[in-house]
Amino acid sequence: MKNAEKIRLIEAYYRGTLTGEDNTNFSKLMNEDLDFNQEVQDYKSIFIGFEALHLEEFQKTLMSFEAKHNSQEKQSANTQQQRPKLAVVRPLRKFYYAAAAIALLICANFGYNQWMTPTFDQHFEVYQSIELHQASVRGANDAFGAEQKIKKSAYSAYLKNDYSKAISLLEEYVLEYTETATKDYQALLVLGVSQLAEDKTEEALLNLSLVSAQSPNSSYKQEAEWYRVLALIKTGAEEEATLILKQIQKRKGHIHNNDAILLLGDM
Amino acid sequence: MLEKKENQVLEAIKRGDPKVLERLYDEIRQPFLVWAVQFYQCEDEDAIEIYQKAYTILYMNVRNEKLTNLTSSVKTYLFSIGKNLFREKFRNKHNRLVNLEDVSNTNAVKVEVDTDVLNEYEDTHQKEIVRYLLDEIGDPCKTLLNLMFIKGYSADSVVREMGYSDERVVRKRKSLCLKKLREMVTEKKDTKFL
Repeated sequence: MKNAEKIRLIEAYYRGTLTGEDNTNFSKLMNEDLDFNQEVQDYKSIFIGFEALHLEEFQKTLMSFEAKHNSQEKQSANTQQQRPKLAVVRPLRKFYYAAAAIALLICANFGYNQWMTPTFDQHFEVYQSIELHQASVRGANDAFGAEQKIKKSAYSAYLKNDYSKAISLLEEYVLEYTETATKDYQALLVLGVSQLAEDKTEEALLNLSLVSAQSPNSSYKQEAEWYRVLALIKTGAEEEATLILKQIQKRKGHIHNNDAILLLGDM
Repeated sequence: MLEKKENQVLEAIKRGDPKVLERLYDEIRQPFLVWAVQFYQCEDEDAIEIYQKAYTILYMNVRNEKLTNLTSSVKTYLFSIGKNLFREKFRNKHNRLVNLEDVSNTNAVKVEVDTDVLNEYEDTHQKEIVRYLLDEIGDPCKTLLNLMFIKGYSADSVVREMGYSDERVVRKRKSLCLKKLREMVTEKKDTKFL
């Protein structure tokens, strides 16, 4: 085998890209040729060093990409500072109100047993009386239509107790339509409850915390607060859960006011 | 169709196509930052740091053929790496989050994500050795090896950059230069430099 060919095999070996016939030839040489063995050892620091330098170079390139964004963002901030303050027109506000009016009624009915230690399993139940007034799904090629389709399938899976599918679809929705989805508190609430049902408690906590902290809609917010309490109990953070429950207990109009009183009594 | 398009993107990443790398970086950056800030309640700077780390891992996994085809989008893959990195970050901060499932079970589209790739190249000593050797070896080997291994140029691009007649010559030169480096390494080994 020519020297250039041997070096090519060694390079591929250190890159981790040896496959098929090359892999066989490399192993054969390693077993039969002591000089090749030595050569492989000698090239180790060279190829690892080259790869590390390449990585360093790539990271410099990323910094240059980022610098471009930084200067754009600074420019845009300056422009906004110079611009006189005008009345803000929010053409989508109506849509948001409509979306907010799409009530998500996740009713939880819990069987309490005062003589037993309160556990997550005793208190958590996802009911199917969820009412979803979906916006009509327009043409499939339309981005809005595609977005609504994913959500519709997700909610449909949720209603059929297929929480795993609901999670998968809603996570896809979050990834594909991130900007809309991070403010779609209905979808995040359904995602959080599904994750809770599927024992993905840490992830559920992230989504439920987001909804309870940021949702302007009080019903989503209150539902999220309740399910967050259950999630906290599940992770063993009972002190934090108790604090929230006491706050809910004080708020007479809270959807889960009675549930909170009962759960606190159990605890 | 999507798969074909995404795999074409992977091919371009593997070639180190600067235009594709920049376009992809720009396209996914904003949604990634929005997602990161909203879901992980982090500062912009942290979100950018994680994005760059995720992007580097994507690049290295494609380059080293750990990722050869995708059934989801590049964006989904990148978010999955990001998710894994955030988990690592939180795992270090809160002991409560230690017992988490493997990230590949929790993604919208299940993907195998290898984030260890960066650890393999953290040894700065190896970098210093190669930097020293390149300075010692001088041109044209220094330029050729720098272009091919550090800048990631293809043989074809080196032909244009260095004015060689064809790719065959470049490959032969490359092999000779590497051989020379090896000789230097062997010599230095005796002087306990390495």
